Amino acid sequence: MTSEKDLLRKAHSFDPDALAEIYDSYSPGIYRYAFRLLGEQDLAEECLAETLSRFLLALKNNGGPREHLQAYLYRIAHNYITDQYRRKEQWEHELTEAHPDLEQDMRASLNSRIDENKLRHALSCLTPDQRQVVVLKFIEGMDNRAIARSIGKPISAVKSLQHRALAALRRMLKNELEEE
Amino acid sequence: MNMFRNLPFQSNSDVISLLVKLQTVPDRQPEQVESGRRLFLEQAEVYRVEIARLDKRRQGYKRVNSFTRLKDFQYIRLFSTIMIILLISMVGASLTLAASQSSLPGQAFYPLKLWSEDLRLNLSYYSPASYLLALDFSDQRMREIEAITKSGGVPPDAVLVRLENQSDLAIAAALRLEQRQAIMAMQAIHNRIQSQNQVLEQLEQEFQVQPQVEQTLSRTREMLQLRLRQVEMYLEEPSLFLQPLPQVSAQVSPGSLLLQRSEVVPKGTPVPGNLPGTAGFPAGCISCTPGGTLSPSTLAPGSIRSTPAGSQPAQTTAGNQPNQPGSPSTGENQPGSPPEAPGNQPDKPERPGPGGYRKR
Repeated sequence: MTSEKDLLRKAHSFDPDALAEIYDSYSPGIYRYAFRLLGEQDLAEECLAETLSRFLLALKNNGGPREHLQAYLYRIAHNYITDQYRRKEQWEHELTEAHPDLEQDMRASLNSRIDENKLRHALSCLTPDQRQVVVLKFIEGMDNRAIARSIGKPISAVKSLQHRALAALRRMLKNELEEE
Repeated sequence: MNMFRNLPFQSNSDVISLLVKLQTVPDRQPEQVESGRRLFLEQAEVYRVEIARLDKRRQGYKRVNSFTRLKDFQYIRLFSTIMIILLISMVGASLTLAASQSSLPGQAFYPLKLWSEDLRLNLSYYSPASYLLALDFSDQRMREIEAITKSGGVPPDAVLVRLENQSDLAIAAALRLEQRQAIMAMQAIHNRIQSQNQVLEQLEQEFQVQPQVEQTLSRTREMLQLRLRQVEMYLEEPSLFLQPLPQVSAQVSPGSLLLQRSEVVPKGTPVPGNLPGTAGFPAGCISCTPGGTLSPSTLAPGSIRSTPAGSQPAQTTAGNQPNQPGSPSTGENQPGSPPEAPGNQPDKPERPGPGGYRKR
């Protein structure tokens, strides 16, 4: 396996093998990241396709990353997801109204999906940087250095963002529980 | 809501434990993976082809453009150099020419002055106002004669020859015009020659000149009076000047008019009886002659020759001079005439065509 810099150098010349390797290496992570935030496979696939398309367009315009490809791709995906959040404000409630008469055995699974969507809704209420830090840290399992590269901020800022994001999530989820 | 109810949300760890639950992601469908990969690589291939085409065009443009720029630069540099050289030459020539206009015979720039006059006369040959130019140049000769005389020198023969020649050129140019214009031109020439004659008279009277100078001035006056008479004859009867006129060269070699003393007015040439000093002809008869009829060629410019340098100038009017043996009636050089100085060539027609003939 070639190093990331070699891979990117070949990608800038649109080498098919290098691009195929990039797709194979990075598309699963991007897909997972998108699915965790969007909660739907189709939206995650769309996010992945859009992310890789923007990456190719940047290469065509002689742009794109020279290193840290993963952080670059996550940043694109994150921007796309942020746009999706702005477009769909009430997406988490549609699922509840769409399945009122499901059987008991499926209700548990559905409740789990609803809880996940509530959590995603709480995530969507964070600032983009807070959301990205929380997701990369606690869902994707990245360390602070990688997160700092991904969002383009120092590690201290990552820690601060992480702390404020968790506090905000805790407050929002507690309020949700009290309302029920 | 089990998940929420079971958590008190007292610390961040509760939130983190919830977030970990989001890590569960269903596997992608293999066909979707394959489809996404194929689309990604197809898009990459499209971009690769586009970039290759753009690169090729860009390289070709760069190559052509750099070559064109280089050639343009070379051409511009060459053109600029030529233009600068031409400009400097023209400015230098103009300054030299301007400086030469006040030069006198014997000075360094005088030949340049004469050359420029000849050039202007040649260029204005077909112009209706060419007689005025010739008159201006003859005035210039008069000023030169005046300046040299006042400074105590002897005007060179070349100046007199040019004066004579330029007077002839003025008359010839006037004769090329239509009759009405020609009459006006002849009147202008008449006035100008009269003025020149008066200047010479004044010079002779005011300055006690050397005999040699006096001789030269007298010869010049005689020449001017002859032209004056020619012009008067024309003004008396313009219709007589209908036949072809001989050509007058702009380049008359110095001495050609001075070394040969032919008849001022050949045999058979009418002289107006009402002109002063034209005794021997019936008054009022300008066409009747003792020896023949009026021949315009005898009146034409260039048909008159003065005395050679050093010989006695004609004291009487030209019309009363007897014919000399062997002298031609047209005034052209013939065998038997006095030997010519080097460079003395008979006048030859230089310009065929409309200038030599009067058509009505």
